[in-house]
Amino acid sequence: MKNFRTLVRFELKKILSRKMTWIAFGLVFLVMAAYAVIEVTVPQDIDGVRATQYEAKRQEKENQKGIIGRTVDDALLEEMFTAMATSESAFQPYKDLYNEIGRNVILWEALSSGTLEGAKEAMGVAEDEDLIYTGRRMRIEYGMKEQYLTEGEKDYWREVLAKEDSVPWTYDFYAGPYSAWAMAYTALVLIAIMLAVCLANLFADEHQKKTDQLVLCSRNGRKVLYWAKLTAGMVFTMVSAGFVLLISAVPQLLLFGTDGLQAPIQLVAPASTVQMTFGEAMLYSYVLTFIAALLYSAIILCCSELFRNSTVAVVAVIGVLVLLPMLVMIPYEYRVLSQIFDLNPINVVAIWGVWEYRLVPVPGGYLTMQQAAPILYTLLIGIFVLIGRRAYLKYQVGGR
Amino acid sequence: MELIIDRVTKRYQNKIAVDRISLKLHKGVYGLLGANGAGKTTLMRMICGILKPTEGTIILDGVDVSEENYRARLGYLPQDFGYYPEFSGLDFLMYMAALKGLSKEQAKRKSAELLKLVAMEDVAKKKIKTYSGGMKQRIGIAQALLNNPEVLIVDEPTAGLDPKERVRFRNLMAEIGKDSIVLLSTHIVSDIEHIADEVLMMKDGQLIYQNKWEEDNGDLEKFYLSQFEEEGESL
Repeated sequence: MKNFRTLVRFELKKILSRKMTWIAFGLVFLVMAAYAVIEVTVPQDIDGVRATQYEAKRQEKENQKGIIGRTVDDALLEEMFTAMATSESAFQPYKDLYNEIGRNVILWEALSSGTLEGAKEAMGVAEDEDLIYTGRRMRIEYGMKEQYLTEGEKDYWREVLAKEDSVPWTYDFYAGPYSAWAMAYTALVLIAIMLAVCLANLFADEHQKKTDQLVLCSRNGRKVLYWAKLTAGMVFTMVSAGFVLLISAVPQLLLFGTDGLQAPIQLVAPASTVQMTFGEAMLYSYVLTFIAALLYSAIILCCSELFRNSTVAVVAVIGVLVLLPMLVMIPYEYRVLSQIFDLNPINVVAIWGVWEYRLVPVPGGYLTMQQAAPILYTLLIGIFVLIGRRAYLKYQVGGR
Repeated sequence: MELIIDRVTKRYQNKIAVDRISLKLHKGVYGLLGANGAGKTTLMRMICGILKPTEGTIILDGVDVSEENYRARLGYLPQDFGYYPEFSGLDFLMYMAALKGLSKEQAKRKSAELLKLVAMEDVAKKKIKTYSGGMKQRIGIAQALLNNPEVLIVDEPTAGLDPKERVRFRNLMAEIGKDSIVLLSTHIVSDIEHIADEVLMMKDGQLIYQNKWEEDNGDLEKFYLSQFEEEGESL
């Protein structure tokens, strides 16, 4: 394709020469910088103590020194129950264990019994069984029923759980990677807004400003220019996504440290069946954010050409793919519809995406939602690129 | 070199914009006259391959209008078109040159040459949004000539040009017409009467006149107006 690189450079120049592009970059940077600054400088009421997030996390790390590296089992739980009954300060090291694991797998009435034996009795857990892991399996079974899983899907997870090698978990301090992982959600929302603002005009402008007549009758104006525009849009997308992820994740790791990268995500999502460490979950979310950003970009560029209007492109991504999943939840009983809806990038990238048990059937077995999402997004990118290409090649300059 | 337009028709839902036009064009300047709405722009868009005819074919030396090789030999200056306001005049020409398949060296050389031709070397690095209407038109003319087109289609090209520029432009078209097919559409008779090797007239989508215009034929403007008399009276 002759002059492809030159054309990509000019298309990038068109994107970067718009004031809105720089305003969008500036605003995103300001929002994320402000977020980090607030974490360090603005004191909040955290568990009855006035402290900044930074100070609170440092204190937490200090408090947890005694349990970091310990196996999460009945013995640790017993200590937790004893500390609960002793004093507020004695309970501090176990606070996260109680909040993140205890409250998510042990029933409230069992937790409030105040002893390990009482909790086991309330949960119907035998004395020789670990409360956490038995409670977790019970929670997962309940979740599978709640999400209307088929027997085949249930068997799939039971098999996975039987082979799980991260159990029993080893406790670790995980504030840095956990926060950085959680930021992928915010980053994806910001990326979607940035892309909608910066790319929605890439094709539409040619039609609205009537430059299409000049470009379409030139030698490279049809096939080569379409790919050049698309490549410029994708390059811009990758750079934007990298920029947003960088400014949202790096401050979290710098402020709260990188401890816990190797710890299983079950320390915050005990009922999750996803087998990942915090480091892997972070990496997965970031890679998926890049793929999702490319999908947003493909949709924006396709709508920009198809409707020759930037508004439709903005509504498609911001309205349908970002705001709608934030505001609407389709009940699990509409199994297929709700599963398709929950496969949208915002839900899969989010931390709560690891509480997902529903599987995607494929020939010969199943894919987890985490496995299916990147494959589906890649396929959709291809489809939107081809729809856009068809619209671009077929476009006729009619009456104006 | 031969551009064959064979029974080309463009039909919209309830209107025929161009009605079975057939032409064989060779090197030279063709002046296309017609009132607004006569179908000149539609015909030119079809010749440029940016509007598909409902019927008929357009072929340049055996190459169909839809092919890349056809577009490689084409230059087009539309009647009403936009620019990239943040690009400089030079950027715009370099971009158009890349679209036309010129190498970087060719693009630089040709852009400099054309900026000189349209007397815009001084403002080449200024942003297009700062240009006047006439300057924009001149940069539009320059882009149409970047690839030394064998077929040059210019639609109402003198709009926005001052009288001196109009004369320069007419001479330029006459010069290019020696080696290329130049189809120049206008509703201002004086734009073509001294340079057109052949005059084409369109009315209601149809070609109503096609011939050389000799001085012996009389005043072209009077003839042109007589063709549109009924229309003029009804107005």
